[in-house]
Amino acid sequence: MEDITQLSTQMAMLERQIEALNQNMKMMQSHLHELLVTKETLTNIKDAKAGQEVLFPIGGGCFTFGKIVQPNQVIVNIGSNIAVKESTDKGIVSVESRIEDIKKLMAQTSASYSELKKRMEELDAHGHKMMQQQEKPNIK
Amino acid sequence: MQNIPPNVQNEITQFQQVEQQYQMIASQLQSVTVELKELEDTLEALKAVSEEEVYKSAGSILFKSDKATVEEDMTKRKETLSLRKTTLERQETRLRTKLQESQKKIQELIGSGKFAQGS
Repeated sequence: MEDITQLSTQMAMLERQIEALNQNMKMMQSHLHELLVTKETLTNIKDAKAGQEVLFPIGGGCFTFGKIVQPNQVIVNIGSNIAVKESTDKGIVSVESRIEDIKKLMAQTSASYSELKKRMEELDAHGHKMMQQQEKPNIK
Repeated sequence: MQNIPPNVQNEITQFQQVEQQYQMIASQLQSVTVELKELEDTLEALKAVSEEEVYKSAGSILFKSDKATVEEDMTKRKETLSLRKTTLERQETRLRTKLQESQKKIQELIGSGKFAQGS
C-alpha cells in the first residue's frame, strides 16, 4: 500500500511538471508567432519609402492613419522597459537572433516534455501491475 | 489526521507554516533574481549603444530620455535589488534550515513512538 501511495505522489508531481512545461510551450509558441510577425513588419518597413502612408494598429482591430518617417530606423526594446534607436537592418538581425533563441528553448522544452511523458507512462504501467498483483487472491 | 496526537500535530502545523513562508520568500527571490539579471543585461546592452537618445516605456507609450540619466536610474535600481536579493537569500537559508530541523523533529517523534502516548 505504501508503494502505491509513493507511486501516486510521484505521478501527481510528474503531472504538475508536465502541465507546467505545456504552459511554457504555449507561451513560447505565442511569443515566437509575435516575433515572426515583427520580423515581417520590419522587413516591409525597410523596403518602404520615407513618407509612405500606412495604417497603424491601435488595438481592437482599429487602425489610425500615419506615415513612415524614417524607414531605415526603428526603436527596439533592449529590456527593463528601455528602448533604443537602431537601424532597421540591425533590428531585423536582433529579432532573428531572438527567434533562434526561442526555437532552441522550445526544442529543449519539447525534449523534456517527451521524457516526462515517457516516465509517466512507465509509472502508470508499474501502478497497473501493482494493482493487479494486489487483486490476486492469496491461494495457499 | 484524527489519530495523530497533539504534539505531532503541532509540529506538522508549524512545519506547514514555515513551508508557506519559505515558498513565499523563494518566489520573491526568484522574481528579484530575474529582474536583476534583466537589468544587468540591459545595462550591458546600453554600453554598446552609441546614440545618446534612449526611450523609457511607460504603459503603451515611450518617453524620450537620455542615456546617462537612464544608466544612473538603472544603476540605483540595481543596487536596491542587489540588497533585496541578499536579504531574501539570508531569509531563504534561515527558513530552509528551520524546515529541515522541523522535518527531523517530526521524523524523530514518529520514529521514537512518543506520539503513541500523545505526549
